[in-house]
Amino acid sequence: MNLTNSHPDLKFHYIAHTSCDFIDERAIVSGSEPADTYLGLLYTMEDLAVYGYVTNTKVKFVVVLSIPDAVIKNTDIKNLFKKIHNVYINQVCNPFYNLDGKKSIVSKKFIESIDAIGSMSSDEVVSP
Amino acid sequence: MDSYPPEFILHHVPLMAVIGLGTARDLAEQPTPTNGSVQNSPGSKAQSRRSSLSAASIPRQPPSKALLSLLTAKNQVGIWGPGRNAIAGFHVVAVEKNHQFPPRKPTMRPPAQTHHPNMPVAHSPISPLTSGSPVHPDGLIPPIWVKKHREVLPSVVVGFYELWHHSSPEPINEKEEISPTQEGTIESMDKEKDYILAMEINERRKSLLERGIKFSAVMLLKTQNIDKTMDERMFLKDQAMDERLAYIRRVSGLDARHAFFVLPPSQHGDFQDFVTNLQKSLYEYGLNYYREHGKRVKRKRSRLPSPSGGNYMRPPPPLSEKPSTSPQPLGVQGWMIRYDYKLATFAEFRQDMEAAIRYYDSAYNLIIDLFAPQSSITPGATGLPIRSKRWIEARMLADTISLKICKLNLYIDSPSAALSQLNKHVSTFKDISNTLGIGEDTFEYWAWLSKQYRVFADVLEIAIRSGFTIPDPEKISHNTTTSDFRFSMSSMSSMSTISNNPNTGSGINPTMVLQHPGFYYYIAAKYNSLRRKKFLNLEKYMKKEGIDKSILPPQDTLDAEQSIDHSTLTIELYTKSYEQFKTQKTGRMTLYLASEIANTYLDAGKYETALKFFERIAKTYRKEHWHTILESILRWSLVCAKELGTWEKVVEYLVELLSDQFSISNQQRIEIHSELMDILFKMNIDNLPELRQIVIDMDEINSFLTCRVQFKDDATFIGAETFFQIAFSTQAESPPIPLRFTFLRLSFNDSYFNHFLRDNNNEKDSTKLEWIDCKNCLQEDIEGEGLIWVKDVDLNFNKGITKVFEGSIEPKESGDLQLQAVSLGFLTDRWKVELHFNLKNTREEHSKRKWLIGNNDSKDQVTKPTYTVLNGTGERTSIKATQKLARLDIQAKHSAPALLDEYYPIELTVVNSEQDDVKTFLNAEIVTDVPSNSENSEDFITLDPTTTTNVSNNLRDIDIGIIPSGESVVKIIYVLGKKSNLPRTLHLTVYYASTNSVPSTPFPSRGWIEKKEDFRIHFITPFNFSFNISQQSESICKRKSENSMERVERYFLVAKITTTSPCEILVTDIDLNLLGQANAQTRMEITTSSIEIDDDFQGQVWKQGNIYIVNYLLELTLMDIKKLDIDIGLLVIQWKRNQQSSVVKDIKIPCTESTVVVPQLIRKKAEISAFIRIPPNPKVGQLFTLVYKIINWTSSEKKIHVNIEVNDSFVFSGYKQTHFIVSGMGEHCFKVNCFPLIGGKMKLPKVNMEKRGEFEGDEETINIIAPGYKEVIEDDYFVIFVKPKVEI
Repeated sequence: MNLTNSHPDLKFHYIAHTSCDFIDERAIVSGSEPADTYLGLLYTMEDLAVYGYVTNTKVKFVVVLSIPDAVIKNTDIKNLFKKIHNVYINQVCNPFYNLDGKKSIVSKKFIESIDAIGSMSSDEVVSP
Repeated sequence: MDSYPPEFILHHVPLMAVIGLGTARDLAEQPTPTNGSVQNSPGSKAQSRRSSLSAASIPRQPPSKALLSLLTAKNQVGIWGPGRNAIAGFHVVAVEKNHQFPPRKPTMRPPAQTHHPNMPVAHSPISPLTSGSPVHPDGLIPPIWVKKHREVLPSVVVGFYELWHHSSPEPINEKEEISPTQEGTIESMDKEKDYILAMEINERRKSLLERGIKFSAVMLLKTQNIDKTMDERMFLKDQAMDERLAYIRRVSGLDARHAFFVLPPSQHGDFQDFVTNLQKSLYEYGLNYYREHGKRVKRKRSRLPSPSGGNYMRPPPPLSEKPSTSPQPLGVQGWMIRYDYKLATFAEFRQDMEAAIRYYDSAYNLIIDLFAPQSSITPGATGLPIRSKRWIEARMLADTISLKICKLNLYIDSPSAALSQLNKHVSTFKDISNTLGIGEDTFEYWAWLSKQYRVFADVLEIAIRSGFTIPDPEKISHNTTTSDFRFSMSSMSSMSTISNNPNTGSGINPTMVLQHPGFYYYIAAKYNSLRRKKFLNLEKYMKKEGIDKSILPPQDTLDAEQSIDHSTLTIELYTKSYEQFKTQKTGRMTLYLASEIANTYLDAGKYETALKFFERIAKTYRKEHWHTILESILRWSLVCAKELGTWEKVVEYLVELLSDQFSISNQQRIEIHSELMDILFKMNIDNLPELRQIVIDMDEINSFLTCRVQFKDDATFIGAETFFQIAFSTQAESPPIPLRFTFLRLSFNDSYFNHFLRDNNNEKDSTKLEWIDCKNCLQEDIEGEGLIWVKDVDLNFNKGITKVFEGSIEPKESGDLQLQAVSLGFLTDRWKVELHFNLKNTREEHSKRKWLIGNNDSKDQVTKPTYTVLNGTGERTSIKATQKLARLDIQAKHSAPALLDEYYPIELTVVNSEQDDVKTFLNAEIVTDVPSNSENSEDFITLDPTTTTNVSNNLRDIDIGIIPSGESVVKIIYVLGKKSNLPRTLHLTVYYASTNSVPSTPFPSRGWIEKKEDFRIHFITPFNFSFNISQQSESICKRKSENSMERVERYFLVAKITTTSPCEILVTDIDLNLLGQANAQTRMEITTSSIEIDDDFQGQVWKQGNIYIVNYLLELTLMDIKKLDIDIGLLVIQWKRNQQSSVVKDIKIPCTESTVVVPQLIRKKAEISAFIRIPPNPKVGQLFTLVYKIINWTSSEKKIHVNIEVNDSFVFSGYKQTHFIVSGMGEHCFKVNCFPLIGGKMKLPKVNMEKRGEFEGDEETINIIAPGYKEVIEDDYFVIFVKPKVEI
């Protein structure tokens, strides 16, 4: 979901794709421990910071931020991911959604919810 | 990095100069900085050493050379220094013996002497105050200044000197005449030489001390100095040597511990320790030297006025008196930069990284201020004029200082500080450039930015190679780490910044995360491509008329930029990044980089290479379903392919782009569609070959069509019509306009069934779901396809529809029949394009199998089709064709067991369970279970027991006739087993065909259905036979002719027949068939038989266990009495079962015969035979005579002794004991008269006969034979029945 106009969509597709590498790598390291699903900062590229999150069913979420020159609190990002996760759970709960289908999600509600998260201010993110 | 002066970026280490080891030129290692600056004295050692003529005469050359190479071995010319933990190391330069170090400028004298304000001050030739200096009048720091300290001005000087020896050549003082043989003079000469040397050393020491340079002398001892055997007069060597050395040291005023070393001659290996120790002990002096320099510069800096004092134009006070020839001498801020830079350099020389960073940082902050239009440090000062010489110099200095700071921060393991310096540098100059109008719109800016990142990446890479590790985030960060906060070991992200910020807890500033060089190379590459873009824009702009030339960069910059191959550079940077990521095993990132590289190639017009890259990376994106990326790659590939003219690829890409997996607008899709159609149908491309064939594997790409195949049934039978359906579904959005294919080809594993369906150009609207009948195809010979099943159908595909093609085939033979591939194709004049769906690979699908039912109604219009569900899930592309199962039963009825030799009837019932009437044939075969015997088997099967000709053990192709459906036919066959009573197996095969489709070819062939059935039959023998043959008495028969040579003997044959059959047997006849004798003169005749006597032997019924005895009296006529074994004949019994088998009702089974061979007649070969004739019917009281007839078969006479045993039953008359002689070939009769006393079964008086020879013991008992009686064994004798007296 591209929430800014700074880069073309394609760039984000590439970033999402490449971040799979990093997610895989971290998943291997964390191994068997029933760990948290938040993976933290995956990498930065140019002015973009890529954060990763993996659900227990190995669904990967990637958030790309344009880098502010400031410290980004992990709790903020974690909350952000939790919100996204909740939206995704709602989507999956839809009986008409084909989980195994290889198509991207087209649900209007899902997209709206994600848009809403994207347009939240940082304060809203902090208080889930 | 190469574009910066190396002095500005190389790492600094203390400099050591060595004297007396020759120059580095000898080692050809690096140019000697002193080269040319000092005149070599003609007699210098170095000179002489270089002379090849005198090389042999200089014995100490190797050690000095070895020393020099060891000393210079560790010369660090790299960007990355030895590291903090490295042992003390010097940069070593070798200078000539008489090398004069550059004179100090007066200002460098100790402060006490310098401060003479009125004295004109001489400046260093490279000071901005010296005209002619590269920085005069307002430059900052020239690289040559750094070079001076790196390579010219040593911190420590080590002189290597040799102790004079009279035997050594005298290079120093050749004029002096020395006679080695002169006694007494040597010692004094030693002293003299030593003094000269000591003075030389002292001079050197003093001159260097003046400049604060530490001087050390090393005395090189030669073998001659030590080896006593060389010279007798050197016996006092050790002592004298010590004295001499101490003398030299004293006179030269050197400290024994740190300034005076003695190196005895030694092997090369020992020098290493010496060199290490030498450097170690002098290292501190070296550092001190730089410390002193630093202090001095610091003092000078502290004397500078504040730049904000408003007098920036005024030169600093010590220099104020000097008349300024330059309109703009260096300002205070400039001097501050100079001093700071010097301080930093000296700090770096003494390896004080923290201090160096501090000073560099300070210099950096000052220098960037110079670029601002209005200085914030020096009020009122304007920035450097853009693109001026000083501006460029300052900018380079700023870049290198920044780089230094980054590097030194890496040195002290402070990676985030390094990164933040880079960020600071980049952002500062971004602002500066933007304000100056050479910002983000200019190629210059991007070139510079790319360079910064590249250099940073280079440094980082070198650092990593030298052992620097990008810090492990887990170890540094998160002082407030909670258990849920997890970081991997990934070296990608470093959170080292966290510790700098107490508030963060578990937070990261992403800009402060140092990553591996790959990222920075990537950025460098990215910016380089931007640079290219900007430059191209500029070129375009320049071509326009009437442009404002003033905003253009200088022409030389443009020319330089023109000559740069941007794409190659970009690709190089991407490749560097690619390699970095490859080592990090981030495969997807490398794909991304590959796509960037490909794009760069595309931009550069290298379409072929670009296309190669695109094709390689497209696979992964396709596999992992990243459609947006794939779409972009396909579009780029399309561009490449078009440029290259590889139209096959163009078609392939267009077909894939039709897929609605790619979220592109309908308009765009229509464009793709029409482009594809244009290429296929309209475009007339030159130099195309006759027919371009492309097979596009639709399983390998994102297809706008999906294909599913179903065979209706799980299995089929040979010859049965087998139905299959192929369903093509188009996507909801694609093809945007109806697409009409030319043909649809179905390929089976048996090419006989291949179908070729042509488009019928039907213009009717397609419905969402369409059922198309493809049955009843015609076989035609199509060009390029061969003989194939053809039909014309509608092949027009709209979007969002499903077309189901139903066809049928009839398998010819058993096995798996697979629909291997389905191809939809276009066939034009130029093209043959096939969209190939490979069905061989199993495709995963879990939905229920569906079958579309559609029917043609009377008007050949398809009625609305509906789906039904079939068993199973997924696809079914293959079907098993088997022989149809026979639906026919064979039953056999018979009354076991079978008897050997009989016609054993078996009733076969064939039941037809088929739907149709069938025409049926039968094969039957009987086989004995012992296979080895089967060939000799005389068993046979017949349908008619009355004819026994041409029978064999099998029956072939017996027509059973037509059996109506559901009914049965009974057939009786007869089996006759002979000889062996082993069980037999009856193999039955019934084959049939429906009456309305009887195949024209005989069985076995297609169309016949066969059914096999086996039965086992047990056989038992009906009879057991036993025979007894006894010879009849000779006398009983009359001789036919006394003169005849023939001999006639009579035998009595008793055949005992026991019935073993469990069932009653009707015997019609028993017959003895005599065999013909081998010798014509031998004849056998049946004199009489009991059967003949018994006239009423007609149809006797024998039951199990019954014994029937048949007697035959046989007469044997023979000439040769020596013939012993005589064949008799066969006993034949004609019989049948008394009660016919229940299976046979009204058929009369004829009698069969069982035959048994009568054992051979064995004639006795005795010399003498004795017969007794027992009269019939003796009665008590009635005398009878027993006649014994003795025949001598030999030609000599025999003497016979007889002795008669008396018993109670008889009285007899005659000799009780007698003997007689039987002549050769003669006979003798011996009579015994007996009078029976008692009636009943009585034993006759026993007659013992003995043939007596001439000698005692040559006796032989003669057996007596009584015809009709059993032979006598042992004590037994013939028993007769004596009738009692009638009167009683």
